Amino acid sequence: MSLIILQSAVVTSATGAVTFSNIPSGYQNLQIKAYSRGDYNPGANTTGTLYMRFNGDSTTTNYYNTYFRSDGYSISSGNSQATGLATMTATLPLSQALASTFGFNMIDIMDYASTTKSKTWKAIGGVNQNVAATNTNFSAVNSGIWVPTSAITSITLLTDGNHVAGSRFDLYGYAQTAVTGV
Amino acid sequence: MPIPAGSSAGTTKGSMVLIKSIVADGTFGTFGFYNIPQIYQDLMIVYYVRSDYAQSTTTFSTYTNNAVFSLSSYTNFSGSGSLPFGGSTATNTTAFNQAAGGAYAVSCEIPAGLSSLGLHASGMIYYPNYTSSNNKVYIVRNSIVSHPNPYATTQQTVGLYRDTAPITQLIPSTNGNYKVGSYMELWGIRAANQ
Repeated sequence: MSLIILQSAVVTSATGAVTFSNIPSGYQNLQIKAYSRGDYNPGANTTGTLYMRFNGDSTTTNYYNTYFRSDGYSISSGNSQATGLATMTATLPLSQALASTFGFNMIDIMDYASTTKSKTWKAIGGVNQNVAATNTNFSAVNSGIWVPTSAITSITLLTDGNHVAGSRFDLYGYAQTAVTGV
Repeated sequence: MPIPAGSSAGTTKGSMVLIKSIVADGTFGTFGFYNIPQIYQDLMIVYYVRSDYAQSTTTFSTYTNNAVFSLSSYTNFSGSGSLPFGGSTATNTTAFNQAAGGAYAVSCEIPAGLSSLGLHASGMIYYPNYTSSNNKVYIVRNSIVSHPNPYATTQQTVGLYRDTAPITQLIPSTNGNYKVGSYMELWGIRAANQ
């Protein structure tokens, strides 16, 4: 199985939503690499949440999310539903975080083109600000399901506030055929 | 160089390019990736390693650009089953300013000389935007599987190399020497326009 980059979005000025649309169906799974930072300002050193919306669907009962994370002082886990969004907590720095610092997450969306299965996704990643304080640095695993069985053809990435300039989102497909042109 | 084969050939370029692969011969405790090309978007290290150090497990750390220690920090969690096939414990640690003399970009545990014969750790280290003028974030997935426990561990680390200079060298190091059979690969991840 080979990894093929399908689309890439580099944020050049603050924007609230990045959308991958017209996602082709010819791959087994999708992966998103999210290198991002938000401009929301809830307080010093705080970290933010990255969200996904599939096919523009904001139906609250279609999304179920779970997280497991460490801030270096304690481990916590929890879940959310009725959010209308796939939710990845503690995954990006916000406006008062260490300058020139971004969070990073690798998100896998399995069997995204299936028309008979709900869609399962997982994300690993987090943020670090090179300072010792609670709720400042996170290593996190987030996962969830999107209930509909429709093929995923678009994914919108959101955060509280905007994605800042320099954020980058790459969409990959896991191909089941060999590739050439290396 | 070839990209791992699938069932048939296509015309699309793959996103991963193998930059360097190193196989341990039992005589060294560092894998050195020097003069890393600055032409890719991201870097990824894939490893399968074991040390001969006279403990059950030992630390595996990666030095980035040989920078001063205060530039590096990480947060991780790890879990290990307390009993074979059942039970689990979760621990978490954080570390800053790990040691003088180099920047610990990664700190994970790997099997060593007293662990189960043939046991290795496997994992992945990912560096996005390694040539950028931002501080360098990275993530690590590390696992040791053994029977019986307590030497089975899974870890996830997110860290920061607080320097805006490009990453030009990565030196994954351990105590003792890497055992024969250990190997490490450095991959370049291409951008969409490459």
